[in-house]
Amino acid sequence: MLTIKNLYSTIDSKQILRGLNLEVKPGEVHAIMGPNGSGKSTLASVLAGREEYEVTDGEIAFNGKNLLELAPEDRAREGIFLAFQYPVEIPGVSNINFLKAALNEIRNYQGKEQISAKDFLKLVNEKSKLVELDGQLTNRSVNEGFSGGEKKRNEIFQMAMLEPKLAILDETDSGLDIDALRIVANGVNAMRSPERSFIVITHYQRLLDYIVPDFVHVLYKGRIVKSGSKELALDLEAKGYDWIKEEEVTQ
Amino acid sequence: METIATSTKEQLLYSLETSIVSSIDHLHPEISASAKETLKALEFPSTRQEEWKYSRTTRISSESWEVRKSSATYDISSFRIKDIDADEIVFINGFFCPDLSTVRNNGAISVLPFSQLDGQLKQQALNNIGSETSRHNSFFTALNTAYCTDGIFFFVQKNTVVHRPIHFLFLQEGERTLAMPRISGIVGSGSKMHIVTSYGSLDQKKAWNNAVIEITIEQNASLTFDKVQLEGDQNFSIINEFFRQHKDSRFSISTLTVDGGWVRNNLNIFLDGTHCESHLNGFYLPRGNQHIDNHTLVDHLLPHCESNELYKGVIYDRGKAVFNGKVFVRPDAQKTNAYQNNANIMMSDDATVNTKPELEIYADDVKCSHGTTTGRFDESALFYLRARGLGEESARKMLSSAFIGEVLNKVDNQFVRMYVQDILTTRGLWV
Amino acid sequence: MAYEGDKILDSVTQKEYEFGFTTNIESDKAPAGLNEDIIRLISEKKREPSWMLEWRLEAFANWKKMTEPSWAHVHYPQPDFQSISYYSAPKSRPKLNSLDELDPEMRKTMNKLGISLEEQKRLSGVAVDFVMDSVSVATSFKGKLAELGIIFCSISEAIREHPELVRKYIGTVVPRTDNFYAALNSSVFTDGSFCYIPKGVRCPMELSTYFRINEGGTGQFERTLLIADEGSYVSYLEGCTAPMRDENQLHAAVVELIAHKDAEIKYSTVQNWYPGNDEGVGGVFNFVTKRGLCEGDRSKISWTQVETGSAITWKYPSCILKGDSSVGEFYSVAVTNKFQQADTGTKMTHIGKNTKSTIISKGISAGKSQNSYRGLVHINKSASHARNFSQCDSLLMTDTCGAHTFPYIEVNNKTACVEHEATTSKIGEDQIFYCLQRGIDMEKAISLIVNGYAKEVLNKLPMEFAVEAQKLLAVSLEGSVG
Repeated sequence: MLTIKNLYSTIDSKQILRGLNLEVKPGEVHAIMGPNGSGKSTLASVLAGREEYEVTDGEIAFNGKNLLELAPEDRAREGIFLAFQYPVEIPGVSNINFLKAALNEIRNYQGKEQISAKDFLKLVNEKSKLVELDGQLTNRSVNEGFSGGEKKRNEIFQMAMLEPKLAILDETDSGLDIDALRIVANGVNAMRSPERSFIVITHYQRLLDYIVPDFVHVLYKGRIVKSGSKELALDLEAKGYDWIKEEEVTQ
Repeated sequence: METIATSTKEQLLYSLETSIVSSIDHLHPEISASAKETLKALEFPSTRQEEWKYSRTTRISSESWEVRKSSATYDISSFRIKDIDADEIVFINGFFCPDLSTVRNNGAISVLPFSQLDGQLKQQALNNIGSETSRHNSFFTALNTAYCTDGIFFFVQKNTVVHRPIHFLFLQEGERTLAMPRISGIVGSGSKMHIVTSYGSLDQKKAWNNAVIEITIEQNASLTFDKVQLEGDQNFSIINEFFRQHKDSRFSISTLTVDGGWVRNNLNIFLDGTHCESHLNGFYLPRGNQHIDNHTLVDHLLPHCESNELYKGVIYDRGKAVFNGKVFVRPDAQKTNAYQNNANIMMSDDATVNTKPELEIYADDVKCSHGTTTGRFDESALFYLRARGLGEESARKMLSSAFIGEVLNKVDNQFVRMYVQDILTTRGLWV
Repeated sequence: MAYEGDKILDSVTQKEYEFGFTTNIESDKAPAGLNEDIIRLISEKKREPSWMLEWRLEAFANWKKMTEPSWAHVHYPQPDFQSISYYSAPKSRPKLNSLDELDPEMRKTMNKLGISLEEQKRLSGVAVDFVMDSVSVATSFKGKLAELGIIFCSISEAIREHPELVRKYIGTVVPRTDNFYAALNSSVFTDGSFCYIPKGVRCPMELSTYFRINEGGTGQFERTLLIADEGSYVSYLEGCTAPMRDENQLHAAVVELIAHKDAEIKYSTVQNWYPGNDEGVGGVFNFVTKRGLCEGDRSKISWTQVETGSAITWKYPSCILKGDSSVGEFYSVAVTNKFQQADTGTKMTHIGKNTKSTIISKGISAGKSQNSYRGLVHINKSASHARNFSQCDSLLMTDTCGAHTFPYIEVNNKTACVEHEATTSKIGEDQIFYCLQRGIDMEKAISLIVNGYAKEVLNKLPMEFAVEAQKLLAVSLEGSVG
């Protein structure tokens, strides 16, 4: 589904990613962990097509297409969803209108019919329950006046509405209390399917108790330096990142 | 340059002098005579004057204009506001059209052309006209007084709630016509009314409209005023508005400039009583080569008044927006609260914004603030929308709708709001 | 509280102008009036080269065609330009090898002003170019600066000693045709400072000139030219006081700054000229043209001013941000009291890409004064990604004064981001009460609050100036709350 080969990326001419490789197959959940500044959020931003991040080398293929040639909106329409680390507030734009517009754009791209108002509302009702999102919130302006937890739940709600092929969760767990974390994780787990893949970027092993990954990768200095099963996350939790750094030095 | 301007002014005045008698003469011939004296002393406005620094009038002064009654019949339905159930008063080329209008004269409300006024109403109209314009001898106001094509006077009796809105339509047709309509009115104490004015071109030909609106809002009265501007790219439009508020009155005006080739709005509000409340909102969307200039004056004369101003603009293509908001707080106007905000979004490399929010404060126990921002859309908001699959175009549209939506949502009457929303949607400016 | 305030107001406004005194030095003074002969006389007295005289005469020809600007929010009787003497120099012009040779009278003046050269030399490492009336009489630290290749001298000396530099730069930032007062200055300027910082040099000390109007009826037409070559840095201080006079005194200075690539100029002013008496009689007319050109990429010019004096102030220290990524800053505190009128602000003209400007203006009005902020932010079409932030606050102390804000914002590039905020408010009564309740008296409370209000600007001043400025604010506003 997603193949990243030898990816180099800079921001403000500072080198962040230095030859990153990653292969994600349909239905897989990949967790990416790493110390601060290792390039986790950069990876998410590059995948979603944030313009400030310049790709200087390497390639990304998504379902056979060259992702780097696609505009951000086309990546979304192809099925890439980024749950933002810091969801943006958009005063005056209602959450519901926003989602309807997004959904119809994606359906249009995929050659599907526009969704009817009735079906859309049904969908909203159904999916908002998934993350226990109050009906009130769906009518407010996008993320405006939402608490941190509500913003993150809103991200997962949107994901559920848009049904992406690949969802990237960028530190969705940070700033969440355990109850909110459980709600968010339940939402994600409900969406797991053999066709849908996830990249879960996190700083804390805690999230992986709830969203159990198939693979865990350690990102360090812009490269994946270690990959393993979910046990690797437990090791990291117990020992920290220092041993990884040491291993890197000795190599 | 000066000699040209002078001779242009003289040419204009000469052609008007020989073609029209001010409709105000019916009330008292001396009013237009004194306005003509004023015109002699005033220069035709030019960019050398601070008030006109950013709006070039040479395209008006270099043209020859004609006052001409329309003989054609036009379909004006697109200018009617659906479902609003209003009394319509129609002006074409600055002349009142009785066939298309509803005038009233009953115990509660009188709405009549100047020419039909007599007795007490005539006296009231006379007082009202003298009160504002004599204090504001700007060139274009004086020009309207001296050569007013047609005028309507309305009077709302004390403690009357006028249920049907009055909708004034100012339309123009024909090449190089000059319209100088005037509305003069008094909202009696304790009364409440809703006025809509709309401006438009029937044939998209070059035309100049120089209107004067002067309304007195008596004690504890309430006036809601919506102004919808839909003029063509060839139109020059100068709207001179004067609102005087007395004690405990409430006034709210929305200036919605959807279209207009060259527009100058001179909105003047005088808070001439204590505990008055004023709200001024507006949006402008200059596109193509449109030039939209909003000059507002909020003059706090007495204490304990509050004014709120919000003007927002989205500037496309080679469009040019001018905003000059002046807030005066006079020495007696203690305990004034005055807020002003002007925000602009530039959509094109060739767009221009000139904004000048001014505060002149002569009292000390006041709370006044103004703010202005000019820039692009919040790029992160744009990216967020795009990351959700919206095309850049529709993402921008959505954001600009939300941006001016803040102003449109302040329009109380849902039919006016929907009317404007529909037009914006047709123009591709609303989602 | 109001009654108490009135009493304090009275007691303070009865105070004589602290620095109002006259130095008795014989002056060599030209007859009053302005014509070509006077300009020739000035040029001859200054032993100027012929190009300078021609430059002046051309400026004069321009000036004759110009009219005084009338757009500012100030009202005053038009000065009679023919009754002013355009040249006066101390007759006993000393040739100094050390400060000890300075005229004792002048030394006394300096001491009274608290700017003893020795003191300053010893304590703060400030080099002072002291201007008494129109001619420089003492310059210190010259040797030390010369080692670094820094030129710091009077403009007259620079015209004689460094004509190539003066000729290259004079009038390039403020052209002779710029405005009425700039044209007048260009015709008749008699002295001022010249400063050149060579490439890569960081000037190790604050350069300072104290201007002082001395001779009755003497117009002051200083000209300052400051050039920071590539990668250099300089901080320049300008401060002034004036003696008490009944007649109005005209001051029309021109300051030009040029910052080349990667250079930085910090220009600070404390202005405390005679503001006129309690009835609004007398006081200095201060019509100044100050402008800096950020010529090179990444250059920076920062203006900081504390304006407390003058009857009329008409002053807009400006930046032309020509170099890409250049930076302009304007930090101002303007205090008006009694019948003072100030119309001051800045112009930021963005031409280069990624240029940035910041405007922080704090106006404080008391008495029957009028205090206006007038500023222009112009974003040229070429100025992609230009940014401006302006904050203009006004504080009102009485109900008889006025505070006004006239920002002009012209944006011609869609990638620009311009933000302007302004507030006007009365000095917070709850703040004062809180201080009182903690045992702080009224005057101290006001001083505290006002200095807190102006802190953002005061912090930008060099240390020595900041102390003086704080003192000035307190003195200017004592007992002025209504």
